[in-house]
Amino acid sequence: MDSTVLFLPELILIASILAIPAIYIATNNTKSYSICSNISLFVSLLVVILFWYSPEDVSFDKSSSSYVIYDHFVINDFSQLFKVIFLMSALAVSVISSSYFKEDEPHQAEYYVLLLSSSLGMLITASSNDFLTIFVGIEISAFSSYGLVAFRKTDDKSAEAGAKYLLIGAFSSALTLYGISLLYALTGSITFDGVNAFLTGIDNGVIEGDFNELVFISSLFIIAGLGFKIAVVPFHAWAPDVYEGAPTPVTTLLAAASKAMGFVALFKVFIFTLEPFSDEWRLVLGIIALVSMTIGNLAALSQKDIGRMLAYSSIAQAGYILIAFPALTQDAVSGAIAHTLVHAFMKGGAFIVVAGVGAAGLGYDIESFKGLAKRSQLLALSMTICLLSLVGLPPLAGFISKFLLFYGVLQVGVAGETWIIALVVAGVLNSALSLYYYLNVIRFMYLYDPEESSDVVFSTSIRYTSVLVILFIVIIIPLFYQDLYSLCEAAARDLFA
Amino acid sequence: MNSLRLVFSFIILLFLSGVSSAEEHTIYVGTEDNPYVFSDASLVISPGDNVTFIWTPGQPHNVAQVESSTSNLFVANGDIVFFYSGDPVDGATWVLNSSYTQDEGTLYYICEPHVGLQMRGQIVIESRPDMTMDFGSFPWLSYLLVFPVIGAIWCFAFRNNPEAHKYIALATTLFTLIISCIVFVRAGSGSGFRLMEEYEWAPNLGVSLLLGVDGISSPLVLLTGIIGPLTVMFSWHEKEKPALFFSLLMIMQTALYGVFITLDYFVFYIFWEVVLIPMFFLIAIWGGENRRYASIKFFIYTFTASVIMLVGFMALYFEAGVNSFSMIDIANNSSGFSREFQIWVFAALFIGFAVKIPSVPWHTWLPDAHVQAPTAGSILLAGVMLKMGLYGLMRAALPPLPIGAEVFVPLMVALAIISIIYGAVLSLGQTDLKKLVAYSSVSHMGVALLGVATMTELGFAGAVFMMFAHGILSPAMFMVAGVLLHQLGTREIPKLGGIAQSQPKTTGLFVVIFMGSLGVPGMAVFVSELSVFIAFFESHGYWLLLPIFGMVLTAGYHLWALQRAIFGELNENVDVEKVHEAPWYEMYPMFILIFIAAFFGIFPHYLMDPISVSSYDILDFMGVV
Repeated sequence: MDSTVLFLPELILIASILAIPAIYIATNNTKSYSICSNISLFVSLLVVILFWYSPEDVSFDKSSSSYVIYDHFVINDFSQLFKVIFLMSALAVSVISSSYFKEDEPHQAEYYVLLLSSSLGMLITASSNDFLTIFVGIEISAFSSYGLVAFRKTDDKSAEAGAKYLLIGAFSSALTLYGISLLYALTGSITFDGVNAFLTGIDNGVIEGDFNELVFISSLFIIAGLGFKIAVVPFHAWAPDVYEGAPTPVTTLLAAASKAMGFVALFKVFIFTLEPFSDEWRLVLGIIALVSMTIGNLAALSQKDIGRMLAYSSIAQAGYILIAFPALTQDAVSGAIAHTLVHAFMKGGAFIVVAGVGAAGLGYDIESFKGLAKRSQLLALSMTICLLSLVGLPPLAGFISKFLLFYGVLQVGVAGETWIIALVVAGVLNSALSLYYYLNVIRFMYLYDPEESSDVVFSTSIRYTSVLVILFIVIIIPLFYQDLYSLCEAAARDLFA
Repeated sequence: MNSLRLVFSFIILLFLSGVSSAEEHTIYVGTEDNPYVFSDASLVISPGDNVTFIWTPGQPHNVAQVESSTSNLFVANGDIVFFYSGDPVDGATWVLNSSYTQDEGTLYYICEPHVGLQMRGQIVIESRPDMTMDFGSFPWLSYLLVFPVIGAIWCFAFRNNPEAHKYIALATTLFTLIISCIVFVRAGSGSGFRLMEEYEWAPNLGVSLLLGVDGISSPLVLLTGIIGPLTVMFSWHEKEKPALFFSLLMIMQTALYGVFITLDYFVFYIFWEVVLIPMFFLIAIWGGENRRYASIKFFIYTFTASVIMLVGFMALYFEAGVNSFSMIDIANNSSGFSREFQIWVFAALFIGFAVKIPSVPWHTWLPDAHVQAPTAGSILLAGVMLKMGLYGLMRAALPPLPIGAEVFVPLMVALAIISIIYGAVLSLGQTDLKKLVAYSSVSHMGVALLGVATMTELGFAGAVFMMFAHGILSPAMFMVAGVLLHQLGTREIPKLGGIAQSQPKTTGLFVVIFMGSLGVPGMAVFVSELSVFIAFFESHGYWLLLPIFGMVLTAGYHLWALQRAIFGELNENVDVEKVHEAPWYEMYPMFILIFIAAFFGIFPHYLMDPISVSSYDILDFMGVV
């Protein structure tokens, strides 16, 4: 069969990106855009899963486990796993958007186009096999996100957040690009395999010369550029403002999928490509991890706005995931992949509830969660589960993934590199610290009465999406965590190949 | 009412009937066919077992130990005392008690009149096997985990029915009590783990749901079972969200059972943390005025400690290198752990457990949580949850880390003695009855920690016995506070006083409970304190005076509180109209607890036998004895 079929998920998204404007011309019914977007994301998701599990249908040679197209585009367990997560997040966002935005909200067609193209960029990033493709993927996604964040252009906060995000995003892209160009100048190759082969050559003395400083500088640039994308200290300052200002479904996309995309890029560049020069960047990433989990949690303690609080909590979570990079073993990386995936569920789930509360007109302060349990048991329960899972309380999914992460990293520490044990200990102490501000929200939901006794109606689609998220966090992932582990292990194996 | 009485008497009967201590063996002296043989002529037993000789009527026989299989003369000289049933008689029963069967070896014996007919036999005493694993044929332990959860869901499903939930809760907890009793009886007093079950969860990581009980966990399983229905009865008239309340109680029960019966570090940790969630909500929703502060403090304090413990668990797993989180596998592969590793990991685990015990200086969450929790929550907290810490120490930390434990013994002794005295001194100064009980828990658990710190069989046994005894008597103390609160709306001692005349029966129960808790002989607490102090004297000599001084204070604050709160002149703040005998649903739980405490105070061996065998197992494994 033709190999274009491998692009099918991406092609479906492109088709509907083209279709929505056509629908816009044909009808003014805003529901039709969201239906088109939901269907295309769902079909795309189905295609990814289907081709992943029965590759023979697309003349996929499973024995070689990965399928590379002209050195630029790769399809393997790693890419498919993340594509599933991206599409699931985007689908959830698309579903809740239709109830978050009122019928008369202007520019809805553009919204769904941007949402789909942002997802398209993520899919391309997941499959990228060279620096150019990964850059294009990230930029497609980022440019769409700028538009999404500033979607409510009459709202000052939204516009401010959009401008901030655009400026910082452009700056970080420039830094990344500069780092990439240095590497290209040194190695003469743009593909990950080529750069990796060249660096391995230097490392083994096959190629003569001392390029340590050059690689160090270029890796610093790439860390800085991608650090903005995943929002780690000291590149995090935009996140709270953007998370607060953007419409909540967009924040959900940023927190769940965009962050994971940043990590995908980081995995591909550092775990695979720059692996031969790991001594140059391990310590840097270790320090960034330590600082961002600590500062993220400390800053979250005093937040009044739920979006900002969750943004700081995201910064801390990114810090946890980053500790796998200095450890640099397959177990540690599969733990990091697992936590990236589960983080998308937990953070996404939490923001879905925030969207529900916000859409019902209750506001976005932590105070607005007062007495939520009396208004909607389901949303309160869903929020509680997502937050407790973010803490890492057993037996929820967050515990499982955090356990796998710390497990993998500690293994390296016990084997001899003692400074890595410090990272793990800092991680668990930070988890305990984070309990305070998460519990605070839970306390507001359960222990206080609502401030107004008026009846509040929560949107049905948000409630159903919440149920699905709870199902994953409480039942599916903990029960089948052996399978989660094998999936992540297979993905990590692709990275190390 | 009558049916309730029936149910309870049935449970007590069940309880009394099947409890087995050391294993029993029987030898028949003479058989129907041949009056001149012993049957079995060669019997294999484990150390510490009893052998009963039963005469078959016909000929006069006796049983006399001899030196070898060929010796014909009974000699009772030298240092060795041989066993001897007395002069030959026809038809009798004689028990060779366990003092003869402590050491390995073979005991030869003859019948003196008929030794010429080669009427002789032997008893072979074989050492106990290594950590035996006995996989049960019936999943009793899973039932313990499953039934309370089913009850909780069932209860919550009937949340709109005004009455159903409490009957469901009572029925479920009574049913789990029966299963707990069965588990306790079936666990017996042999060495090793019983009733084991294994369900694979994540074989790649070596995680499985590995269940099993031994002599240390089976009393705690029984305790959890006993406390369950009592909490339900004591909160019989809960008004606010009763269905949720009972559901949380039952989920809590499942998690507690889970902690006591899992033998897998990973699953142990999960249950350990799951305990926090229902407790958090019990305090936060049904608690006193300051409940928001107390519940969050409780959660953060204990969670912080246990995540450090989790790092310790993972370190154990990697260092053992057997790709299994099973406590048994890790302990069996712990011989290569270096001294430094053991000290660090033991420190991590000790922090996790010490906060739960709670030992000074990590005890500050306890008074807050206790005072703010509803009575049923306090009962569970003091009765069962405080036992998790020491149980975890003995089960999860000691076997794989003997050197680390040895290094920490002075620290544990110091913390234990400080806890005993400091807890008692603070109790003296409390005016809130519940706070008094909370600090007395710190003091009592200090005694138990002291027992563990002695690293002797008697000390361990005393510690576990203390866990059980305190688990029975401190809920009773909380019930006293609960009864006073229900009637008079206050637990402040200065606002009470002189109520004994108006409720003589209830006061009688109060007095017995206070006496039991301060360690009067005949009640369970006395047995444990005595064992711990004897063990401590043997290991540390006259340092014993310090904890003994703590006991003087203990007696002081109990009696003083009793005198001020119940007896004496009628306090003008007390509204006599409101004082009456406690209703049945408060009276019966207290009575049952007193009965259990007295029962195990008078017949301690029902508990001591299994506990000491397992304590010996642990110490033997650690290489201390």
